[in-house]
Amino acid sequence: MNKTTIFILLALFGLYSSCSNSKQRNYLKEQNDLLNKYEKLLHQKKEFDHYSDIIPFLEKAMIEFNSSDTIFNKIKIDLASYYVLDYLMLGKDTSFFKAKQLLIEVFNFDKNNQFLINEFKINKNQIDSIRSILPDVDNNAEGEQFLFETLEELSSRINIK
Amino acid sequence: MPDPTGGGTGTNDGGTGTISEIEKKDKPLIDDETEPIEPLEQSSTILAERSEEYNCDDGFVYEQLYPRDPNDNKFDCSEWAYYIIAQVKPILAKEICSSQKYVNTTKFIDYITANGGFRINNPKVGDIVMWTGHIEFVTEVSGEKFVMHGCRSSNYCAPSYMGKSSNGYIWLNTSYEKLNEIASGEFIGFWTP
Repeated sequence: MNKTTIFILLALFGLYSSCSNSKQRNYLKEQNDLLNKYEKLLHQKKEFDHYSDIIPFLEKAMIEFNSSDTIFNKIKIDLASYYVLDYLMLGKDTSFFKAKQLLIEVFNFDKNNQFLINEFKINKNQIDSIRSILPDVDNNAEGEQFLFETLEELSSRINIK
Repeated sequence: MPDPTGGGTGTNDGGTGTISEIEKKDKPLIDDETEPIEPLEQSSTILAERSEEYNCDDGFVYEQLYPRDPNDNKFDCSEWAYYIIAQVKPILAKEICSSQKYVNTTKFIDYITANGGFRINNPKVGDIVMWTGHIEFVTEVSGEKFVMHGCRSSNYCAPSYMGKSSNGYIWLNTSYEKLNEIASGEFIGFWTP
């Protein structure tokens, strides 16, 4: 291997490192921007007077944040808690099942439980318990209590850092 | 012109409960924690049946209820709450309204603030439950869980219950984080008249 070859290889490695670092920086910047945007969203949410205005706000936000798994799933939990409220206020069955569906999606996403443990500080036993009950939850008194109390507990743990 | 005591209307049949019957009851809705608050329920029944009949020019509403708009014969939340209180605690009603011929949530808040203030837990049957822009009555209590009854539309008063699902699950709780978001304005608390 002559000096020229070594020089070319070093140059290529340098170029690769530079691109890789740049990609990493861009990714971190993008995630940081999303977090800032999410914090802003949580503040904006507080300005709404009534839950019925919050639901379309979060539905729109969910689409905007689908590039971040963490935020996307936090919004799903938050939105689900408002759907179940909508069900309890107006008796809309569709809202009950929307809430259930969103919660199922979050639990399906978090197959290894790390998201729920890290972001919501709930333990594995609690997660296993919810995971086992959730598929059979229906809009009867027991199901309402389970879904309402689970989502109230989870949504209360969505905090602005 | 309807009789302010409830006479002269289609609902004064003595069977379903009339305003005059409500007034005869010694126990006001507000003080009894053990019995269902019949006056409230009767009043709301009467109201639901008669809401289309009210005409502010007939004197009944104007003299006793002071709605915001004399040409509007439909109640909002505070007018309805005032209507209920006027049936069971007329002196309190006059104190809340003072000398002005209208009532709104601010009048309730001012009066309650000057008379013991609100508490944010320990609801009791008959309590007023208040937001900065909304008012209802507590009708059922189980610890810190409660059910309430009120008007939730500014355009048309259709008193209904909130806090208990059709399956019987009581979900309204004083610790519920979304209390601010279920009614107009911020949740202030309870007051026992």
